Amino acid sequence: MMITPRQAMDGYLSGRAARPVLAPFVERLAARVTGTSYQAMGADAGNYTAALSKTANLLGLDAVVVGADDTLLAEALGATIVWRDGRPELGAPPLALADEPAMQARLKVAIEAASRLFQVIRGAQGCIAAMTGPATLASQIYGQAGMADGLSALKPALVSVAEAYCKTRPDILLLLETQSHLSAGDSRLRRTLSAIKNVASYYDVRFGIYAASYVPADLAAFNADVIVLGGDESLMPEAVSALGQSSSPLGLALPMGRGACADIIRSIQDTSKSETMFLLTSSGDIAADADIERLRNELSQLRELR
Amino acid sequence: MGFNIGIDIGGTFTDCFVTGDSGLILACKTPTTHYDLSVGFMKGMRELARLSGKPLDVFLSETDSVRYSTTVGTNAVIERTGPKLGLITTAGFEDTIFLGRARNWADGVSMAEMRDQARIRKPEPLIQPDMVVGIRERMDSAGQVLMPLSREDVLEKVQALVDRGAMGFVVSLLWSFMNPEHEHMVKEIIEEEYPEDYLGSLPVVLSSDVSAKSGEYPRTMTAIVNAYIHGVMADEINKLSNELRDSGFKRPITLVHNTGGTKKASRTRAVLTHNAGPVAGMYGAAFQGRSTGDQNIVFTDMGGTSFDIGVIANGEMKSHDFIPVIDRWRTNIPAVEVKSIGAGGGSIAWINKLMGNALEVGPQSAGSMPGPACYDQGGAEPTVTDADLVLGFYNPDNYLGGKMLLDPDLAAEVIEKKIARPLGLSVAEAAWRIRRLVDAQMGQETFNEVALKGHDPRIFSLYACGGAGAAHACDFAGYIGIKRIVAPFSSSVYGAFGASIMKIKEVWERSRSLKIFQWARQKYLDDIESFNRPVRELKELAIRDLRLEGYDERQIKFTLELDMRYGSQYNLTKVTSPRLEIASADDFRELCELFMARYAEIYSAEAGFPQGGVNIEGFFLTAEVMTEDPRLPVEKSAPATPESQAHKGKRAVFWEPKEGYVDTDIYDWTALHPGNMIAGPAIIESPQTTFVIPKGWQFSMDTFRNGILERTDVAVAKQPERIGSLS
Repeated sequence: MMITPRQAMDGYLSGRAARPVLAPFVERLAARVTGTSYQAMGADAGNYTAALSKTANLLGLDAVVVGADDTLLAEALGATIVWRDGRPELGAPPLALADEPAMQARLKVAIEAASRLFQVIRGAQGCIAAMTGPATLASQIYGQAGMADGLSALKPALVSVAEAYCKTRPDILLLLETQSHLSAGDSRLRRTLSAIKNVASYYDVRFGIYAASYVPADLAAFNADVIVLGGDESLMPEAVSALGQSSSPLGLALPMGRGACADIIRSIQDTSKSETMFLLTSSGDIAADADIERLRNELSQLRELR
Repeated sequence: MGFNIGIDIGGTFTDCFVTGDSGLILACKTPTTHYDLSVGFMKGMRELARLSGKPLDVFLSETDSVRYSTTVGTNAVIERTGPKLGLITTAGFEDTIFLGRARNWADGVSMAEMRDQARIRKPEPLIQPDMVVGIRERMDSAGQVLMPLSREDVLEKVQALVDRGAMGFVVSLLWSFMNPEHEHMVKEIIEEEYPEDYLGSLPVVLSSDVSAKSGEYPRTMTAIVNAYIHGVMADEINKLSNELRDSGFKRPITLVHNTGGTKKASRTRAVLTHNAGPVAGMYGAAFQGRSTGDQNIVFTDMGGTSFDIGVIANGEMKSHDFIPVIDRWRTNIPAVEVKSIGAGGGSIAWINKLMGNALEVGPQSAGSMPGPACYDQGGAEPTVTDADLVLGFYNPDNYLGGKMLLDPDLAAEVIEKKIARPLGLSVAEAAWRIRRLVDAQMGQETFNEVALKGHDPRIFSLYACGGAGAAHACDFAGYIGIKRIVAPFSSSVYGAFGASIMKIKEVWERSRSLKIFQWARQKYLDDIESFNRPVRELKELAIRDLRLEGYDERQIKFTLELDMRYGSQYNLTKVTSPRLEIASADDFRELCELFMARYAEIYSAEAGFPQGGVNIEGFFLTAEVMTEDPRLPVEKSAPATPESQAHKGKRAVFWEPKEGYVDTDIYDWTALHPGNMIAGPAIIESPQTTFVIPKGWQFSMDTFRNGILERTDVAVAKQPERIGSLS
C-alpha cells in the first residue's frame, strides 16, 4: 500500500517510519521553478509560499522546509547582507541587536510564508520550520572569540523567533548549526537550546538540530527530539550508533542530486548495523541550476529504500 | 473498568484527573496552550493514558465520561472574537444595553480601576448601536398583549440587520419572561425567511429561553453573551469531540456548569460554562468535606494565574445571591458564587513608580508562555514562583514531578534586576517581600469573602487547592484567623477532581411576583395554584430535558429555592422551600417564617420589615440526577513518626529576614502514610505540589491521604455539629 507524505512524516515522528522521509532544502530551486530570483522570492510571502509549494509537489517531497537560509536571523538582528551571484552573504555584524527580529527583513517574510504554507499543506505533507541555531548565530554576530558571552545576549532573540515559528505550527523546528562546532560541554549553549526546546514543547512542536560539526558521542546530551546529521559523512555511522540507543528520530543531510545518496545511506546502515529509517535532507540548499530530472530520479530511488 | 475523566482548563495549566471503578486515581498537569486549547487537552489525555499503562486508544475506549471545564467562552468575550450580532428589542428600548444599570461601568473592574474616575469608561459594547433595532410590540407586566406584533415590521427590521452584516440575532422583548409568545413569533418569522437548510440561515437566541427572569438589562446581556460565545464554543467542542473520537472515545463530551452540575455539551447553554472550573473545585470540596467532617469550608484555589475563593456554609455551596459579571457584562445566570483575583504562581512582581516605587504583585500574570523566568521559556519578569524558588520553598528538580526543570539562577537574576536592585534589597529579601505581599492580598480577599459576609472564620476549615495552594496556605490563613487547613490529596488538580465526580444537574428558573403575606390584612395568599403552576412548568421542562439526556423521572431529585423579600425591598434573599407543592395557606406561613429567620440571620432580627408584606419574586428549581457518589480510596493508619525513607534531607529555606536561610527538613509525600505527623518548619514535596509548613503549624495525613495543617500554638475551634442530612 502506498504511504502518503503525511503518513510518512507521522510515522517518522512516532518512531515507526515505514520509509525515509524526503525533505531537502529547495529554496533557491523553488525560485528558479517559478521563474524569479531568490532575492525577489524572499521579499514576498505570497511568492515564497507558492514557489515552495509548487516545487515540493514537482519533486514529490514528503515535507517542506521553510527558512533554510542561515543568513535570515543575523540579517533580522541588524547584520548587513551582500548579494553575490544571487546568494546572500553576511557582511558587517550589527552594532546593536535589533528589537523584535521576527518582524524584520526577510525573516518576517519567511515566517509569514511558513504560516500560510503550513496551513495549506499540513494535512498532506510534513512542515519543517528552520532557523539559525544559537552557536552558528553567535559565531556570525560575535565571532568565535565572542561566542560564549554572545549566547546570553542572543537568547531572547532566539527564543522570540523560535516562538514566532512555532506559532505557524510546524511538525519540527529545525535549528541550523551549519557553521559552528556543537560542544556538549558548553553549558550556555545547552541552556539556550533548552529554552528553545521548552518553547517548542509548549507549541507541541518537535525540537530538531541540524548538526554540521559535532562529536558523535556528545549529541545525545543536547536532548533534541530530532537530530539531523550533516557535515562529514564518515562520522555519520558512529553518530547513528550512538544515537540509536535513544528513541529520537534521526535525519541525514546528504549531497542530493548527484545520485550517490542511496549508497551513502546503505553504507551508514551497514556500518552502524542500524535499520533506522531517516529523514533525508540536503547538505545545504540545493543549487538553483540543479538538474531537476536527475533530482527527481534520485528522490524516487530514496523513497523506495527499506 | 470505566474511567471518569475530569479536565479543568486554567490560565496557566490544564489539569486532568481520572477516577476508575476499581478505585484507581490518576492526575496530571500540562501547560495550557492558549493558541489552541485542544492541544493541551490532548497532551493531558496522552499523559493520563501513559500513567494508566495503556495505549491512548485503549484508555479512551474504556472511558465512560469526559467532563470538561473550559475557558473558551470566557476568552471569546474578553478577546472579542465572537460574531457580529443583531439585537431585536421592543421599540423605544434600543438603548437599554448601552445605558446599562446604574454604575455598571464599574462591573468587572478592579478596585483600583474603579477609583480611577478620570479614566474609567464603559466597555466597548458587544453589539454596536447600529445593530440594534426596535420592533413595534408591547406586553404588560402580566404578559398580556398591549400591542400585537407586526410581521412586516419584523421583516423590515431583520433585513436592516442582515444588510448591516448580522451573523445571528438576539431577541429580547419587554416582559417576555412572563409571556414569550412574541419572541417565539420573531424567531419563527426569521426562520421562515432564512430557513435552516439554506446557506443564509442565521441563528436566533431568545432571552426567554436563555433567562426567563425579570431585569431587562441583565436578561438581555445574558442572552447576548450566550449568543456571542455560542459559535466559538460549538467549534471548539466539535473539534475536541472529533479528536477524542479519532482517539477512541466515542461518547459525547460533558461540560461543567457554573451552577454546580454537568450536562452533555449538546444540552448546555454556552453562558453556563463561564468560570465553571472553580465551581467544580468547590463541588469537590463540598464532597470531600462530607468525608472529613468539614461542614464549613473556605474553598481557595491558588493556581498560576488567579486565586479563587468560595464559601461552603453548613455543607452547601453559596449561590445565586449576587449578580454574576462575565468580563464587563452583568448577567443573571444562577451561578455558584466564586470570587477571583489575579494572584497566582505566575503573578508578576513589579515596581509601581507612580506610587512611590511600591512593590506590587499582579494582577498581570506570566501565564504558561512565557511563564515565570525560571521556566526558561523566555520570561523576563519576576513572578511569585520565581520568588518561591529563590527562597528555597520549591525544589527545581521536582516541579510537576520532575517533568519541568526550573532554573533558580534565572529566577534570581530577574528578581535582582527588576526588584532587588531598584529597591536596594538583597535578592532573598526581595523574594520574601514578593511572597509576603501576595499572601497578604490573598488573605485580605479571603477575609472579605468570609468575615465581611457574615461568617465566623474561626469555625471554618480552609481548603488549600491549586498548584500553589499548599505552598502558601499557612501564610495567608493567618490573615483570616483560620487555624485548620485541608490540602486534599488531589489539591493541585482540584478543579479537575471536582469535574470528574460532578453529577448531572441543572437549575431552571423563572421570575414570578407573588405577595404571599399581606401585613394590613394579616392574611396569607389563598391562590396556591399561582405558586404551584410555575413550579410545575419548571419541573416539566426539567424532566423533558433530562429525559433527552437519558434519565428517568425517578432518578431526579428536585430542590426548590425561592427569591423572597419584604415588600418592595431591593435585595432578594434566597430561601430553600421545604416542599415543591403548596397545599394550603399554612405552607405559605411556613415559607414566610423560613424567610424571616434567614433574613434575620443575615441582617439581624431588628432589620426585618414584615409591615411590607412578604413577596416571592423568583423560582429556582434544581434538578439533579441521583447517582452513587464515588468512593475515595482509604489507607490504613500508621504511627505518627514518618518512616525514615520519607525524610529526603535538608535544604536552605529563607523563612524570615531576621533568620536568613535555615536548613529545613524535606519530606517525600509519597513515602508518608495516614497518621504521620510533621511539625514545622518543614517542606513536603509531592509530585504535584509542595506543602510549606512554617513554625507553629503541624502537618498530618488523614486516611484519604489529605494533608491536614493545624496551628499548634492556639486551640483549633471545632466545627459546630449540624443536624440533618447533607444530601
